[in-house]
Amino acid sequence: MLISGYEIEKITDYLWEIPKQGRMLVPGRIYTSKNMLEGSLQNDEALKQVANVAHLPGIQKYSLAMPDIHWGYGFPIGGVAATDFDEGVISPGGVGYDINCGVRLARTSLEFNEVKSKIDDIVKQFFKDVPTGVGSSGAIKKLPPKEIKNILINGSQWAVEHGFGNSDDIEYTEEKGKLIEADPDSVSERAIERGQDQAGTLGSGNHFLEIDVVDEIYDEKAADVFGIFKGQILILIHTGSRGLGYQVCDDYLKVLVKAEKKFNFNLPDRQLACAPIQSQEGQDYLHAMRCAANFAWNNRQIIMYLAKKSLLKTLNISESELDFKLIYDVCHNIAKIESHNIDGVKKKVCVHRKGATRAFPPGSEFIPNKYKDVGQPVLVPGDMGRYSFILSGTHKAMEETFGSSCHGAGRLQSRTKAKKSGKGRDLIKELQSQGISIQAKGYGTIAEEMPYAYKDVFDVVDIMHNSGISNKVAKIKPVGVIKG
Amino acid sequence: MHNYKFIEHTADIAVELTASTIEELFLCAVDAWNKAMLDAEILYDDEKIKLDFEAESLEELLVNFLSEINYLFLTKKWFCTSAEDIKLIHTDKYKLTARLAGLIVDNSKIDFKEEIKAITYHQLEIKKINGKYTTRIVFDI
Repeated sequence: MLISGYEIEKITDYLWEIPKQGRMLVPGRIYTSKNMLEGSLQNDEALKQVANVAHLPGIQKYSLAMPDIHWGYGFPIGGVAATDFDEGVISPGGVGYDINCGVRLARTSLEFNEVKSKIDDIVKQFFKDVPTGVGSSGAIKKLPPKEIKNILINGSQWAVEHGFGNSDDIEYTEEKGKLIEADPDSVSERAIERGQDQAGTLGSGNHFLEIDVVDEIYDEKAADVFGIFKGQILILIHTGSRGLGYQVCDDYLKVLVKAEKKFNFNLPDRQLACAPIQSQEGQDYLHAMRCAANFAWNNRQIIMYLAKKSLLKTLNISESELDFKLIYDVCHNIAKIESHNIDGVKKKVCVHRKGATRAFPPGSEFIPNKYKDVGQPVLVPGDMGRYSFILSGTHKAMEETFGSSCHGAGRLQSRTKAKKSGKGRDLIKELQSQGISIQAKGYGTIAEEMPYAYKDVFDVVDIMHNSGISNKVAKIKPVGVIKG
Repeated sequence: MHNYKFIEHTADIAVELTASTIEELFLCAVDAWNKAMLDAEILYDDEKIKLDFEAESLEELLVNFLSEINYLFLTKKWFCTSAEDIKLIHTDKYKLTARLAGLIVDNSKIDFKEEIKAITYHQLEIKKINGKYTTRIVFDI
């Protein structure tokens, strides 16, 4: 089937291949459906980007893409690539600007029916307590560079040590909220400056803080293990490393564009700028990227704490009555050193997940003990009007996708088009009529982020479920949203 | 003479710039950055800033120049209202001197549309077509 200039071969109904051609080192493989290929991917540059990624030195097995694939910078969003630790490269394009953009899901003991009449008040309180929007700052006092460096080393452990949460939160965060071998000396002063007043802030764009209700359970056993029941109130947080992470990416794109020339890689796209993992440039980026990832975990940890405070204040209940617990925190923009089975041999690789979520299986030593029987929670936000999903990791993901799954719905309409679609309509009222209370810094953001601007995340999740890469556990629906 | 046109982009903001000279193309880029951030026009300024850059290519120079303007806004809350004077010299490298007008702003009082988080290299190529300089630039939001 000819799609976007490539002859695509069907492997299964949900897995399609771009055969190795030209200077590609491995084939490209996309988890998608015939409908998506002939629809949104037909005129998208994303397939070309899958093929481009296959040129990266040291790439293993396949250049992969998840079903929420769409065009990005260098790598497609939804792209996964593992490169040989000793002889391969690392690329900031495979991580993205918002390093460790991710999702955190917390549960409460509350049922929707008990707090239905208070949702508006909670949303207003969230909006007061969690800084949102362009250049948002001041969730906690502006921190001196020395303290920011402590965050860069310690991640969300810094927040917990400073009273923004408890040690259980660390246990239920991917990598326990801290990537080791993070070196603040690799991070520019400018990046640190951008982070000084942004710890605990949501930012703008598609980042959000949501109140959700568990709408449907697909896997009773896993839901029970995750502490989820139908009608329960959950809190979902989506944000990343804010300006600090962007600056790290910006700084190292400059370094790695030069490195790519120095090492004479001759890649098909300048934004695939990269360096050997073992080179000075590669190590410096890795050390700085880990710092930004740690900053993001700390950010989500503080926001979770602020959300808890808002809930307690609005509902006027005790901590034990609220029983606010972290289910899991996952990152979906990252590069990590992991061991994977390559042609029957365990091999150390650098897994780039750009708009892709780690999805480790039952029994994995890298997930909390409590989840060992069912696998890691995989959190997949949809849009603010429909639903989001909780999935679980599988062994098949370890075999086929370096333990990775999808990360979201992906935009369907540009921001301009979404604004045009919303003209003359009372979007806040429309959301209210669907039972969703919203607060945002600007009306423009609401228009840009309306459900019609996004693909249906149900289709994305179904492909992951049907291909065995992750299992559906529960569907959750938003009832309260704050946006930047 | 210069002008810019915002074009469809699914996730971010893309703009096409056209100008008679390279200097005007850079002025045009500042105008586009400003418009991407804010619908209203701020007609006054209270501080001029002078910037000097050098780079190996015009594209790198443009990205570095806009990144600096963006940085001044994000960290110093100094919002650039216009570029008043731009001089460009090409020897072994491209060298730019610019005088910018702007002011310190209070984010809570001005309704900025977007937070431009980075100036990307995507589809960025400065070309001369029919006597006009042109390029596309994508702002990551």
